[in-house]
Amino acid sequence: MVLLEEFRQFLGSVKTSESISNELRKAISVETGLEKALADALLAGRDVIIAGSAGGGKTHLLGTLADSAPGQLPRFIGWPSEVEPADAPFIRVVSDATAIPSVARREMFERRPSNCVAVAIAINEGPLLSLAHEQVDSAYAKAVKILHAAQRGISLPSDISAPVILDVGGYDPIENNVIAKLLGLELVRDLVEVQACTCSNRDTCFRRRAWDLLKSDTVRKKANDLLRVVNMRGQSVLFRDLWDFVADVVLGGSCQGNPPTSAWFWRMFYGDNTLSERLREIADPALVIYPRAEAHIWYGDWKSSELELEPGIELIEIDAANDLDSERYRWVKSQIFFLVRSASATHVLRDLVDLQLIKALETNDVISIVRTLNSYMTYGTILPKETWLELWTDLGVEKRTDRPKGQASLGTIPAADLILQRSLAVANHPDPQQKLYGSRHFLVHRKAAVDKQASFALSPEVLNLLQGGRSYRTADRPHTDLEWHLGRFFASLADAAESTDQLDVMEIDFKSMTGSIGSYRIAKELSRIEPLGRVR
Amino acid sequence: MSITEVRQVLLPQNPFTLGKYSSRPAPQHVLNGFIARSIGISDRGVEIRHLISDGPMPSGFRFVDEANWKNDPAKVSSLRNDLKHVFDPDHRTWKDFGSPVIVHSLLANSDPSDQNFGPLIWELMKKSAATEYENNLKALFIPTTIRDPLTACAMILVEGASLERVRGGSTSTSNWYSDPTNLAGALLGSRLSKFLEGLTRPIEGPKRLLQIQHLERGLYLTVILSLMLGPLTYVAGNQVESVDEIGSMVVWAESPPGRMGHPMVSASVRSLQLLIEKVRVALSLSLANALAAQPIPSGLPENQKLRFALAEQLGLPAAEANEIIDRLCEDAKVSSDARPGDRAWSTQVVDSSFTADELTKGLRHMGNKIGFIGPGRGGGAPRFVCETPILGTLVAGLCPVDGVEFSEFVDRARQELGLIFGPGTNDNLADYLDLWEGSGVGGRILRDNQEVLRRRLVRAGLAREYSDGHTEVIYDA
Repeated sequence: MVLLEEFRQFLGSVKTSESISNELRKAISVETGLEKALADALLAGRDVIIAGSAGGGKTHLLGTLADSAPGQLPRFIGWPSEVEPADAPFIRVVSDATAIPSVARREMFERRPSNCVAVAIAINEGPLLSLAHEQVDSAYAKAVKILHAAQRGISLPSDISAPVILDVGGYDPIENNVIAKLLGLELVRDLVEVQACTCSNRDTCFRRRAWDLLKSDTVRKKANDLLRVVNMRGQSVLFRDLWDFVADVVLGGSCQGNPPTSAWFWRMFYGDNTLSERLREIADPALVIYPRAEAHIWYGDWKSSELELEPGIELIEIDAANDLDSERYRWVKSQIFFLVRSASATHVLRDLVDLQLIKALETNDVISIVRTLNSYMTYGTILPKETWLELWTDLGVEKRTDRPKGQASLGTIPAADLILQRSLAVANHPDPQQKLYGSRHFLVHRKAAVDKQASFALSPEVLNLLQGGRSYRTADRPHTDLEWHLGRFFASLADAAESTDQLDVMEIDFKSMTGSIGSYRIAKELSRIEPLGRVR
Repeated sequence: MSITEVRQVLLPQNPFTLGKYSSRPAPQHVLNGFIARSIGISDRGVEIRHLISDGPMPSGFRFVDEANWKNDPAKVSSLRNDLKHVFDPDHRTWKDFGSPVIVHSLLANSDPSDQNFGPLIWELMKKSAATEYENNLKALFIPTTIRDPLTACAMILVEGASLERVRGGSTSTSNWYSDPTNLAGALLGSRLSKFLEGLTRPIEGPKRLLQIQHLERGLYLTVILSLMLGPLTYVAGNQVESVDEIGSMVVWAESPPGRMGHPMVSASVRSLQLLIEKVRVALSLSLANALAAQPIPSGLPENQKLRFALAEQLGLPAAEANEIIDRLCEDAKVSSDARPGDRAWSTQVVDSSFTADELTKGLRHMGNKIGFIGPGRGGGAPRFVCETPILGTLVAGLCPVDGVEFSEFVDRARQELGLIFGPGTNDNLADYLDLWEGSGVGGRILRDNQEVLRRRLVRAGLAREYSDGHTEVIYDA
């Protein structure tokens, strides 16, 4: 009970990762992949910088490693508070560089005795950036360069003089199935069981009965997969966000409400936590249509064979004597969302969220992205190229109601020279196979030198705009921003393309939404401009 | 209304005042005027105008004369139309006058539509910019390598052309940016020129075209800031250390134009109104002081003193000056025998041409062209806004090459250009803006506005947000 109480305090943010007991740390630790990356780097004698923000899990990661690998790694000695041994090998650990005075912070790598095999520093990005600015040739400066490249999906060449980078802030716990692991923790289940509830017995307690559904690996996996939709928002999910989410689904809501708000599947969508807030901006379970089962759901016909549930799963029924009202209908559909037989949670959402481009990212389908970009830039009026990305621009400056009717091309880039990359949570690691990804996706020009590669962030918002088609009204500001971003990306690509021998000019008629492209051969040496034809 | 005469009489102290057709000058005009004054005017300007306008097909272009398609009207028409899209995207070029986009300095025209603002900004740069500025400008507009098809095409258009002369016209040297006694004017001049220096960093390759667009937008913004802040340097005193102490503009950072009733939108509206009132007061004060300072010969009859002072102010022979003075007095309905330095007289002269409505209308027209003042039309009160392209130009002009921390960027916008997006590192900023009844409320509104700006910068790829909430504005050339 002591452990459960401490866990409850941790979930309530009364206790932080720095102040919990080793026993609790062990009980709530799940394998993320970062532990191995950290251990391997330290075993190889490499310094490590664990970057991220407060609540990102940096301290927890160091603590977990200290607890779980005794004997395998040299002793962890806290710096600057602990006395470093005279002879025995040790690892200097700065568990929270942000908390130490800035003068001391500059010396974290300094005055290390020969028996200090490595230094591991957990630090927020802001202070790390300050250190890099102060000491331009330092390990901090190298770390920032590697970190920023990794955040754009670019892996710089290995540099053993620079620290290994673990970007906890950019790590994607959802992609690595961490939610499913957390929801399956024994301690979490125990807490649900002892959670004070007004229900007279367990059989009528919606919170506990609903939690039983999570014993199924399939259901837990679906819960995790659903939150991948949150990733489509493109914002990093912190470990603190995860724990706030767990706290809310375990402890939040009430069984007495109508519908009962204590069930985890309800809280997934309508809970009071950041992840649920982000999720309900994108997905509404009430809008998911199950064609054959819809009427049965509405009339409370729970036993209908049309409700094809996952094997071994039983629906938790709700009183539907007087038909369902909209809230109770939502409650049932929230539950069915996880229980219905389907390929994946996102598959269920396919009518709600257009996943075509998301899928292109997942399958590394550059052609689809290039085709979408070409189509977007030509307002969908001209059959888009698939194997070449056309780099459109216009030299206009004045703001008008409509966008310019004419655009000129700075050249083209073969789609084969572009790749889709994900942000990296581990960089400059001694083991090049050590790959952990973040949640951001980028279209990157791989032909340029690594540190000069142009990259374009394919955030969910960008994908939605690209998919929806370009607006010719300048008042549609999201498109104005996107064009601005694309214009800079295209100019960077054109820098590498250096194509000067063909000029394409596109003209769009916004009234009829038709377009044409005039092409000209440019021969500067001969002073010739030769019309090549017009495509409509 | 005698705006021409009023402008003339204000000119020595206030080179930047709105002209008769305040809606006419456009960014392309100002860029042409700037290049025509600094580097020179192309002797092919007329033919290029004809080529990309509806005028008769000009001769003298080798790429046309030697082409086998020159007798195919459809191809010729199609090419001319496409060249217009490339080199006149803002539709500022006609057969008889015009300003194309200057991809190469040999495209520069001398177009009076800029109302002399282009040459004036060049004079400012000559006075305040670093010595290498002119070389940087030439490096930007006279490319030595061709790395994109637009530049290649421009090079063919200007083949055989030369720069015949720089654009002439008078620009007073005794004005707010070169008067050694006006320290606020010197500060404003140096900050504006520093901003333009940032936008003139020579860049090679296709990104050069982005830089030219930045400079075009930046020049135009500098004109607007000069119109609003230039006159205020006379009342700002000599202790100012940053431009917002001369005059500040509270800018709505969310997508323009913003909803009326939002406290930040109201503040931005009020900020523009206050600034315009201050400009009117400053113009009349500078005129009164200038006339009072003219050395009047002893023994001159009282009723001749103002006429004498005005002639001196205009720097013209008596007969020529008298014609202007007569028109001025008639149109402004003022007497020509008032005392030089009479504030009421000066105020009436300024009011005759620069009413609050006229100034607002003119600045709104200009500001809207680059998305700095909006809405462009309709009933909504005009306010300071920031469309994404001008935001990009601010970043390009204010941000050092290695980037800058976001709150420092906000400080720079305020200190260098007088633009207030938020408190930056000055938590007490709301106290002295005097736009809200409580500074606590004002502080919160400003902080919210600053956060909106931060998000917009990130969204537009102009800033990078790190996982601990830290944001760095990036200069990405």
